Amino acid sequence: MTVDSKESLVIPHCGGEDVNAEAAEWAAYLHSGKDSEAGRRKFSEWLQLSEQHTETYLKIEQWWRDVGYAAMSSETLRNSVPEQQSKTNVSPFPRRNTKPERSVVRMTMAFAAGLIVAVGVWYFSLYQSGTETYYASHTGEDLAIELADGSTVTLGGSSTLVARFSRDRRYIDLMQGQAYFEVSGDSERPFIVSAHQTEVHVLGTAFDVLKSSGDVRIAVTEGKVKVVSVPQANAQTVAGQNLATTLLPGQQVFANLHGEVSQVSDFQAEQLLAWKEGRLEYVDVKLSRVIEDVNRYRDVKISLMDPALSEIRITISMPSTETDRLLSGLELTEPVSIVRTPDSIRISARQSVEQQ
Amino acid sequence: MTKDVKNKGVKTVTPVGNVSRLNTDLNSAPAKAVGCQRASERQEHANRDKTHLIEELYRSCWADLCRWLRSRFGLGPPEPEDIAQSAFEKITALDDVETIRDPRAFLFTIAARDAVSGYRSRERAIKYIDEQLQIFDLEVGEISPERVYMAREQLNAVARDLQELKPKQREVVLRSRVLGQNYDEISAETGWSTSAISRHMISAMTTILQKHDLSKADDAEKGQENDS
Repeated sequence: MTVDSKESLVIPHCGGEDVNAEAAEWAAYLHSGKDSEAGRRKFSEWLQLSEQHTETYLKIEQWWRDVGYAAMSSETLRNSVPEQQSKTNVSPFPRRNTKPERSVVRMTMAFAAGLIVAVGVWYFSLYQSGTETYYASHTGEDLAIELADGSTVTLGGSSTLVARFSRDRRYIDLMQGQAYFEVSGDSERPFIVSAHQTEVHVLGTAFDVLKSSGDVRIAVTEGKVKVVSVPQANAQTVAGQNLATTLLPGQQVFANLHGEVSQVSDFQAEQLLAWKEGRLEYVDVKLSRVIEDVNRYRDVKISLMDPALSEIRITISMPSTETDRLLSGLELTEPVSIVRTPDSIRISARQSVEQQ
Repeated sequence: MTKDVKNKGVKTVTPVGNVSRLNTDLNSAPAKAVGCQRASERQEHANRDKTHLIEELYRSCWADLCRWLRSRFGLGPPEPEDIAQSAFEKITALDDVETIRDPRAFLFTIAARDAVSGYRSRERAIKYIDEQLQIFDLEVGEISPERVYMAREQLNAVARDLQELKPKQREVVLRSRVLGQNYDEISAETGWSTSAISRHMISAMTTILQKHDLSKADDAEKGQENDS
């Protein structure tokens, strides 16, 4: 073992009466950067002397670590952290004086555009370790992402996902909204997308996942995926009750909040994936669904004030930047009245049809 | 409940016809649809709050944080702006940002910790101590939103402790813990001998432990008074 400094400190003595003073000596010694292998051996012996020794040491070590936060918790304390003379001097490299401005601009732009972030952190757990990356798109904006494995994702408006990649799997948690995946093949690491109580397992394919408040829709455009329901921890499920459903290109399923998967149906790719080209297209879809979708592209959200209205069937095609067309269409063709305020749009049934 | 949904929803799916392909409802009960609407509004509120909080934190702290980092850790690399940005990103990535009691303190803590990551002797010491305590199934709590919340009294007490230390003791503690300096580096900056630095550190820590014992004895005494 090498010690960074020229010489080690004197090793603290052991086995006296005053455990507090000894614990303090050891903590100071171990954090000095001037400890030695022999000193560490002594420390390990000292710790074993009694429970009082280990507990007292834990107490002071915890205090020392907590100083990291406590010293930041008030301005007075933050300012009392000494400035480092050797480091505050002007840098010999003038290049650096211009760089910080670039960073500030970058940061400002990121926030001006809303919360479009891709944050990578390492995570370690009992079971596995890997990278965890968080992606979020702003209301009304799609976001194209290339994941670490080369797969690409197009995130719809107001959508967030977390990508957890480890040695043996690529796990995506679609937290909200919609995403279209083009997965690069990797037979060693299955690609799994999770939404509500449902998982989509893939080995290399392209598909769309739309997580709504009441269900998840999975639609495949290329290759093959397996849709698996994940039982809730507290739910009693009979083994084999929810078998995996296999989807081929052109097929879709819906899974409800319990992970129950509908029968497989066909879909039309041009309509379903129109959002990727900046259009929202619906053919005979429930109004409540359309509104939930459209709201991901709007700052001023639309709400339905009357439950009966959610059953209205809508057929419409509009650019995702012009979702007001839905409102003008509704006003023309349906018995609704629409109240617009600066921060909300409320749709209710017109008086004459209140015989539900 | 589960069965109910199944009957209502899944069986109504009709995979026929071109136009009715999207005509698939799992929740046809109107009351339910409204409930869902509210849930999604709540989610939107939460997201808006988070965005708002981060933007607010950015506006109020960015310049201060960069200045603070520059004067304590120099111009880098890593540059203060890069450390600050990565601290913001880490906070943004937390699920429970809104629950952080003091986002500013948390932000500075993350940034200061990142600034000294990679200081070899410091990391080696922490790793070694953690391993030693692990033998006894003991673990030192690292800072996190949960810990800031759960251990707030304890953390407030540490802040008070720091303020009550003698100036030289406080300086040694802060240099060692926050700036990640070893005794040789502290000595080079302050001109104090390493044995003097060691004495300040030991006396600071002994004071803290004694204070802890006293407050515990106080509590025990109060407990006894209450019993009798």
